[in-house]
Amino acid sequence: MTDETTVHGAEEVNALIQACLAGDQTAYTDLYDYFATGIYRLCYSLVFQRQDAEDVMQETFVYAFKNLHRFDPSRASFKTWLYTIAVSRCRNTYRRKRLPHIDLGQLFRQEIAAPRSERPEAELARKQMQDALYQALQSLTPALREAVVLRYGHGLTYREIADVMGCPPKTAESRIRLAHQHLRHILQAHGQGLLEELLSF
Amino acid sequence: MRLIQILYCRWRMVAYVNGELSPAIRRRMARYIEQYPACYAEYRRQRELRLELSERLPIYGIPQGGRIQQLWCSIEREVAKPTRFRLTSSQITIYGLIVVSLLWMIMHIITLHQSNAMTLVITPPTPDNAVQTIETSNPNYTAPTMPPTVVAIATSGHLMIANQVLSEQTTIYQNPYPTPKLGE
Repeated sequence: MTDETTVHGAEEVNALIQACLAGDQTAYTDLYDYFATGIYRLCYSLVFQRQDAEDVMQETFVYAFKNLHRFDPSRASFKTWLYTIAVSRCRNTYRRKRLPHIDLGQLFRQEIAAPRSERPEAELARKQMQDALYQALQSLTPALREAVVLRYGHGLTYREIADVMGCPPKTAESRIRLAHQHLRHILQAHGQGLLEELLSF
Repeated sequence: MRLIQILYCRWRMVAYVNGELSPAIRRRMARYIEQYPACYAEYRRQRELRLELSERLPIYGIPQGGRIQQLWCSIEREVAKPTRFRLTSSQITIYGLIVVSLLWMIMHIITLHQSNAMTLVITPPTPDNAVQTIETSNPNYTAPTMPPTVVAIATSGHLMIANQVLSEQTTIYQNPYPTPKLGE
């Protein structure tokens, strides 16, 4: 997303917020449509379960809409504010469920369909790589996972990540660096295993 | 020296590939990448991982068609519900302090009100009392009726009243049996 589109988006969002505060009901729907998919993806990437993600998303929007008058545009963007609420709710969820159950293979097969033209070998390799990536994500600590998901899944800057996670920007940077380190080791190990498997044929 | 530069390169490389460094540090990093093969290798590794994550994470968790709209209905219902009055922790603290101070003030007022009345306090034995004890030990001795010792603990206005009462008592009351001095 370029700076120009970001500015336009921010202006549009601020106009929607003003309309919501003025009592325009359709503005609420528009605001929801604008952010719902992003918030759902964020919640899902953090809690790994569809039902939990839906609950967290619902709680996030209900809280945000009921407390819209508290939002201060001079402190942070609406996106950052909304993401902060969502991450906080996700933390509550995985604090309640210390060990979330996840079936990554099933999720992946359901949600990212392989192109029809893909050869079976390529499809298998791609699936294995995806499984490895999500297993690696799951193995990260919540703080590192949040940082990585916000950076690469949602394109937030280090400063925005710091705002959402409630930490200094340097901490956000070091969390992403540590996550890189961790993910690289896991993915490299998986890549080598996959290579050996292919060479054995 | 070279090792320090390579370590610095490794430390800031993720921020570099994410475009999060200041122009001055970016230039410095670019110089190291160009100079040292280890830095270049690190750069390639981190860039590949960034690309992989940037490609794969945004497509993770995309909701199924229509689900977002279904959820909107329940969100709309929840938002339309009247907000329950719920106190935050800071509000609870403030209101708690107010209640405690009010209770303290009420207790203080009640205590002051009670202390306005004159209080009878048993005084420690004085030499006169000691003499009286000796006299009462005598079986032939008949003890005179002594007035109780009145001690007023009050504020200045009430103290005046208490003093007045005491002076009246001293003027009216004539002890028919003055306490004999020891040795008389």
